[in-house]
Amino acid sequence: MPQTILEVCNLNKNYPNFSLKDVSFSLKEGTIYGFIGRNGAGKTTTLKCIYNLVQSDSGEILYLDEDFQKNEIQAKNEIGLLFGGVDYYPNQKAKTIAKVTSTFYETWDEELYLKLLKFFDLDQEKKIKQFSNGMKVKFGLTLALSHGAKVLLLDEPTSGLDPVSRDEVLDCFLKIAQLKKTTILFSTHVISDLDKCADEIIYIKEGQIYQNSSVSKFKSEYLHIEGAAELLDKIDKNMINRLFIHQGKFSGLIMKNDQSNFSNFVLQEPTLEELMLNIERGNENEETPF
Amino acid sequence: MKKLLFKELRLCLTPQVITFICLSALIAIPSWPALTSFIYTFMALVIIFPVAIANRDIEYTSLLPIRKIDIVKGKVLLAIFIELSSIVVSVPFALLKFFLISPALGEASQYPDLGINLVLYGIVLAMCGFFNLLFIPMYYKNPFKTAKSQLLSTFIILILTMAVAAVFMVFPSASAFVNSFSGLALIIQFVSLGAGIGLFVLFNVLAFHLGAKKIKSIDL
Repeated sequence: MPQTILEVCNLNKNYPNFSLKDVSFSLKEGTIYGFIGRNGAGKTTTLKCIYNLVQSDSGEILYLDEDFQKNEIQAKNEIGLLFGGVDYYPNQKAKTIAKVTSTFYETWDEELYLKLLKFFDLDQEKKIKQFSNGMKVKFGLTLALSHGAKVLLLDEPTSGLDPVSRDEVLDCFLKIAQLKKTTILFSTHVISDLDKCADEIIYIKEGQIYQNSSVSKFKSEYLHIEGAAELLDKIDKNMINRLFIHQGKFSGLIMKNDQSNFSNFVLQEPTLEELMLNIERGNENEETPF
Repeated sequence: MKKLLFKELRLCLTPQVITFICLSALIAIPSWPALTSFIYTFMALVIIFPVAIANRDIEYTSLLPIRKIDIVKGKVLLAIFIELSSIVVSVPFALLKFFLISPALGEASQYPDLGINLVLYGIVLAMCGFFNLLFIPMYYKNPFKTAKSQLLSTFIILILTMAVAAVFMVFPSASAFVNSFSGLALIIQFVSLGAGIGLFVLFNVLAFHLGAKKIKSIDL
């Protein structure tokens, strides 16, 4: 049984127009968690509360069974946090930022840092403003990974990356989770990233944890269905969620329990993106204007 | 503390700030109130904060393995560094003025002023500490905006500088006393310097604690 590294217990934070309500989850060693929800659902606020950048109204964060706040500096030494990419000090060279950052971490691994620069094809002599968005994200990841963090909290780490770079980053996540037993919690709007590498999904909706389960369990209730649009008249359309008709074909989601009613159609495991849309937009079936 | 200062010096000390620090050399200008050369020090302090905002310094610093209050500590240390550097830069130029320039100009450079002495440095230290005490807590009420704290602190410190300079112009006897080498005047000079150092330390400690209190209550 993997050890619990970080525990978020009944986190509450009230803003005039938004509240985090009793957010609780735990992160286990060597596991990759996808933290998803639509914009404004509370993902970034939760990450900031964990790292004590936002003062929660109530609740507790436990790092290795100890109160995070009481053990803040040591816990932060073992946690890597990244919000998007490195977009600070645009006129400074990457190596200056790395040099400064390294002085704060007892466990900074210069050899690993140099290897990661090479892996991500980054030139540390360049100024931050000379980096593309993708390079800024990669440099942020390089900094976060170079101090041998036990936990990585990453907010949108793959945004702005091209598909090849995204694949490299996701491969990197899989390797460090497997080889170094690093726990990764990352939020993303590129849900297909989670299909590639997440073990668990933490779904947050309107400031509350909506679902917290393994990817397979998350997908277990629904099936993706598709077929010729002309056949739709022969079945009960109300049983299909997220019905989408396009160029003579239809697709949607059905409950797994109903699959016997659709034996003549192609049924397969749904993607996380479909499930997210199903959660957020329910059964607002939409038809294409074509 | 060392790490925080290193971070501030490597990432936040801009060439403009270094230029302002060097401008305390203007103390050597004859017939110019010595205290006004330190106005540039306050300008250096005022510009590091908007530059830090533009560079998203607080976003970077808050990701480091430090407490929220250490963000304030870093900036107080940088302010102290700038202030002490300005004083150190000014000393050789003050000595140049005292031993060479003023004697060479003779009567032409004589006017009632605080002058070059330990009282001047005592007052400068106290004013630097007071500026930090005014500015830092006000700034950390909302560290993403500087206008109000900048304007208010600069205005107050300008008035104070003018007031101190004016006292010695209005009371030439005070100027003559602090610039003499009589036993009592020397004692007053050392006491003033000591008081200045004490106030500098006290004001900076207070500036840090009040700033830390403010940053604790805001969300970054």
